Amino acid sequence: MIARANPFAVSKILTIRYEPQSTTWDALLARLQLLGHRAAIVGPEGSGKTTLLEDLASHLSQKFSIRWFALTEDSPIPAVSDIDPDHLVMVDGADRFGWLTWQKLLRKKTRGLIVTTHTPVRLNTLIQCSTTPELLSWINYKLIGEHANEIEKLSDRLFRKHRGNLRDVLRDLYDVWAAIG
Amino acid sequence: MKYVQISIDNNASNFKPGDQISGTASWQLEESAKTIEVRLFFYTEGKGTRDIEVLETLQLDSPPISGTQQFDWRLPQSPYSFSGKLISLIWAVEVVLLPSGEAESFEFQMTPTGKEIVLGTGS
Repeated sequence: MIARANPFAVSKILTIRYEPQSTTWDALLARLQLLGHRAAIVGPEGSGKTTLLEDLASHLSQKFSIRWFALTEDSPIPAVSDIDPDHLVMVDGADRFGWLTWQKLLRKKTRGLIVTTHTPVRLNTLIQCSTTPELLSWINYKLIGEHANEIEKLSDRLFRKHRGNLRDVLRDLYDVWAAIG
Repeated sequence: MKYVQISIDNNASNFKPGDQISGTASWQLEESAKTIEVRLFFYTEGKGTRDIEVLETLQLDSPPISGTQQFDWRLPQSPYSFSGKLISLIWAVEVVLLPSGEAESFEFQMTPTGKEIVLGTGS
């Protein structure tokens, strides 16, 4: 099977947006407002933090100007002094901030600050992201419909192997699909 | 009725390097967008992170709630459209509403034969 036809290709996975597990979008947005749009999305790798942050950006972009930072191993740490106070700042991967940057960022007056991290930080936790085999099954069903039943046992095994990291599970399922397609 | 769409002249979807690609983006919105962009780009699709390179952009600030925008671009010499098991390279024209990011795209193929190169098949 060629890459663009693989149902587990990245672009297809990206069409599946964040689905709150134990809350609702309205409740999440209300809590975020209560927190003054200053909060952290906390969770392990592959638990949907980035997807949720992107979806929040989409919700909030009608009301705020969003300044987005995606921090990876290769990306430079942004200069806090360059951030426009009129922006709502979103940081994906804020674990990379050192103590000093955190201090500056927390003191900086902006329209809001929403970050993703693996562990709780000095911001209120908006939501603790987690995954379940049922969530993976739901995603599989979205991607491959009834075929999801055929790979249920394999999915459960991969879920355990990757300790709930759905990103890694879906990458493995891409290979499985490429081999059998 | 709300819509955003792309149409390519002569309904063409197979192009050769250096060909002209032309058409019209059209939209009818319920709420005004800050900006509408029409883009010519290619991207990779597959297992890993997507790479995207935008070659041409037409930007319309404060666009009307209903309108059209014609485009006419010359395609470069490369890269060609291809697909393997791990990666596909796909050419497209898209119209994007900002800041919502809502988009509509039209994918086409660009190779010396006009047909996608499929790796591992000799075609």
